Amino acid sequence: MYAYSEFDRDFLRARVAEFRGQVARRLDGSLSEDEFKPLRLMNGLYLQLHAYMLRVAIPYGTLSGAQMRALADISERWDRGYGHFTTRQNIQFNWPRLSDVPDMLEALAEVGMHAIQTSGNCIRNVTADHFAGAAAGEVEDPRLTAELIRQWSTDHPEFAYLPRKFKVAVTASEQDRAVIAFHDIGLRLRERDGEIGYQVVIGGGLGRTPFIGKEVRDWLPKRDLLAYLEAILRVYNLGGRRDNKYKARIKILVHETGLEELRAMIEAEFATGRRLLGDVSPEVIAQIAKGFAPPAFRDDPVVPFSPGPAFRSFLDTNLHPHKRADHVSVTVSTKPIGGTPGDVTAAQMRVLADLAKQFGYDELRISHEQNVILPHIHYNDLGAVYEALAQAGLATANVGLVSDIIACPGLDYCALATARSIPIAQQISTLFGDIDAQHDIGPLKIKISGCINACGHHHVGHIGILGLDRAGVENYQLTLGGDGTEDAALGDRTGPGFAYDEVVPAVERLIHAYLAARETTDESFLQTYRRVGLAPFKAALYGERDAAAA
Amino acid sequence: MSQIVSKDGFVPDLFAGVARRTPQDHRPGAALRLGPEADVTALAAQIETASMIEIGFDSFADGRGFSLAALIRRSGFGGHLRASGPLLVDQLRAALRAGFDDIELPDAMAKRQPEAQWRAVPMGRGYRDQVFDL
Repeated sequence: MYAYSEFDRDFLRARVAEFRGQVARRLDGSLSEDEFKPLRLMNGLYLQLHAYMLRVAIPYGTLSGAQMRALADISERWDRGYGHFTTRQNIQFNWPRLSDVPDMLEALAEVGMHAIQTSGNCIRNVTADHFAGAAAGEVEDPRLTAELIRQWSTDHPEFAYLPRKFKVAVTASEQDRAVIAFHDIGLRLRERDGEIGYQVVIGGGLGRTPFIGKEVRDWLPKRDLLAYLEAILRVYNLGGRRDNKYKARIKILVHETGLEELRAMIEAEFATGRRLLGDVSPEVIAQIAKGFAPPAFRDDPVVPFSPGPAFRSFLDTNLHPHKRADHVSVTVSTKPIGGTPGDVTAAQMRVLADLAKQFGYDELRISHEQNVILPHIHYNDLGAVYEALAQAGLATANVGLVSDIIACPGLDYCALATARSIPIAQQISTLFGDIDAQHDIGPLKIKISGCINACGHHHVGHIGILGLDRAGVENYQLTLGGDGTEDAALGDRTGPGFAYDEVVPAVERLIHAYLAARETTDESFLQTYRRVGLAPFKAALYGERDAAAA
Repeated sequence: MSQIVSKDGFVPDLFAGVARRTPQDHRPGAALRLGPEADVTALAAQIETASMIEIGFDSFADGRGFSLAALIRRSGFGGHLRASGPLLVDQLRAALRAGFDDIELPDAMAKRQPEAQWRAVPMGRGYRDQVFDL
């Protein structure tokens, strides 16, 4: 795994000291709250509904056992004994005290972690495919690119006060597990004539005005990456709207300027910048490459085993093929039936840390679907891993199924939310609690946002749920057919929304409509929706309601 | 009144009393004042012949001036480059790295952010310099 250099460690120590000073300056009045806000945000500290919230970066979702253990310790010492994994592969602590935050940051720095640029109008923590370096079919490990971008974008002198936040995602495979079409910049590594380069997509995003990203370059040589990113960011920094925060993302600049004109501006800036910038230092490249060298995989012969029914069911859903036939990636669901998606206790974090250490080459990942992944597990260790997970309440066999729901924190935590999200997720999960029934329904992504900002990614849910406030009453709009993968699509609105106590029955009707409409048990919800369209689902949703109203 | 702050802390104003000219009435050798919306490419001739350039920041949260400074330095301008506006201590490092020589602070901002705070800013090598070995 990439280990922080002395340069990284010095930087982190300096930043912790700097933040300590910023807190002190806020308290002594040198800084107004308005001035302190961007500084605390740049260090991951939000003011939420009930308390501060500290968002810790997990760059490209990769962490070691020791780092996971440190998160457990921090959650017990300064928070409430749990953490919440997010859709941006980060972890949030929901109850820190402002005066404790510098100590929390110091504890993080000791294991090479931080909360830098997890918020604010800057280049945010870079995300990547959660199976990076493990899955088959990759051009190369996308984390080589993500780590280079982390270094370049950290404390970048030009891009800390952008019009709005800026998110970059990287994938290296044809199967897009990093949702690159819905980021400010999406990068896909590709190979052409033996050379590695990138497809560059810009202007994707969710929120109140969702857009699918547009290709600005179908081929960018690898060595030109940072010069090209600087060109995009510079054009955005100077040209993005600053008069209205809802129109300030690059997606609006792309939309209002037009892709062709914006591309010409980026290319012109790139042409000059590239010539004068020079190449990335070979030492930096070499250090990153060393950091992501594959582990020394065990090659013991695989011993066949016959799993019991519960283990079988876990194996059916929670495994992802590994590039090596004798290994597999194991997804640990953070969505137990009726639980809060993404929440993991300190005790569970320690179990995960131990498993990574004992069986997983000391590597863990966080997925944008808020789950935890052991990317490299030898087949012979699956039984032991499963047993330990089951004992810790971490063996829910629902990855990719109806109860593997993404939900934003919603009104239970968030100051921006207009409706509850977590309780809706819990009710849906409980309603379809029977794992066999979930397996019968098959792959289905439900995503729930508690406001129009779309942190729960509802636009790309096969079933998307958006909670709004209608004259003081929660109202939930449904969308169907959204897809965050390489077949990117925004969900279609079904029609009028549903009240809090109506929305879960409405989702149930959608699922029954799917079960009735599917041609075979292998046809997924999304495939059926694409084949039959909105009509049968609308009938299932509103037929009943209209009849009752009549 | 205002206070000039550089890497050396609060310093005297080298350009006190020097009139700033807008791009419209610029003359070679004059001090040029640009707003955050300036188009550096279109103003290449004025920039090249300015004795010093001052870039106005309307707000600390508007980061356009940092890119303008970088572009002006990239164009080869070797003269004095000043940021003028309500910037924060926490932006000194970025301002210097982007190419500014100093910042002209409104008095009220200088009063709330005393010199000791500016002198305490850590100035080590930045990530971008490290990545490109600049």
